[in-house]
Amino acid sequence: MPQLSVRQLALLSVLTAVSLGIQLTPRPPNVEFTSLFTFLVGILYGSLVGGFFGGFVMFVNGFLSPWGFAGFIMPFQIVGMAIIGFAGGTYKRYVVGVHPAQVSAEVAVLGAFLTLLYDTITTVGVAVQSTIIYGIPWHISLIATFSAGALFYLVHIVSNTALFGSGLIPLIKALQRVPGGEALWSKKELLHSQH
Amino acid sequence: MVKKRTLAFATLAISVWAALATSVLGYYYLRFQEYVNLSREYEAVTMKVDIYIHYGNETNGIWHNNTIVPLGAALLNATGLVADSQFTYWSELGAAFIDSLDGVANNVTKGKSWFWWYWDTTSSKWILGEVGANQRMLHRRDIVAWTYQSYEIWPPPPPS
Repeated sequence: MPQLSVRQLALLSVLTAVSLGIQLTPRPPNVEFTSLFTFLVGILYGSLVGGFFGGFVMFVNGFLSPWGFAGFIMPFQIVGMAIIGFAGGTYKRYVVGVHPAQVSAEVAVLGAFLTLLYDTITTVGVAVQSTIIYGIPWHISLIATFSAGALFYLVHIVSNTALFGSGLIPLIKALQRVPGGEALWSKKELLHSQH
Repeated sequence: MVKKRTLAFATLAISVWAALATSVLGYYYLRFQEYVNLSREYEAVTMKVDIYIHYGNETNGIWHNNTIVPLGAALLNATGLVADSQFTYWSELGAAFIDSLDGVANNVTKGKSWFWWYWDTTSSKWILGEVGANQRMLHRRDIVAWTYQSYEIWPPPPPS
């Protein structure tokens, strides 16, 4: 784990609280902001913190979600969201010198892909659960679950594509000012005292 | 020359679209299977009929093929399933006659009215209905028609 300054740690705590707050608020099915925040944390703090952040939010969500206790699906949700955080940190390495418009387009595509990956992982979880509980062959259960959930995936992927494409860059720009912002704030205080 | 990076993201986007499209296809296949099973389940108490409606204008009429109706349904009930129908029941005749279909009403001034026909498979001809639509009981695979035409020429020409 990287060493974090107090300010970075405080921001991370705020982001965790915001993600959990939104995640636990009743909302339309499969419209969520946790993926966006997890990817963002991955970009700001690196793959490990991003992965841990996503996993932690889904762990708490597993117990307190308005949809009820996640149960058997929880480990799959944790892994799926951790991958999104990890991907954020990995993508950061390839983004230097790229035009912001291109980054927006790329993260929109990444958002769609990672959401699909997350949905696939959780679908595997549901299929395995059906196999254990109802004794349905797991591949049949997987195909049936993958087909039955199509409209949910559609909503999830479309909403996350839009969120990643339009929200990530403004969020990065806003949040990058907070950690290591002593110089900026001192300058503001100085300006304030001069008036 | 397209950059490798752009190609990689384009491939990723197409893969997502392909996976999602496959999933949606699977979803509609499942729904289709559900309806097929449901229709098999109700086969014993339903039947399929073909209903043709011609509104008396220049354009061709509309076919409502394979309309599923309850077993023993009368033409009047079946018509109500495919068109917005208004009718009057004549108690002295025990018959119901159509006043209008989909907003096209019988018109005394123009001398036009709604007629119903059934397709006679033996003679391969349209036969004009001679009873009220509520009195014509339908059978499996029946072909019936409604035409809006003049009653000043008698008998009216069959549906074309």
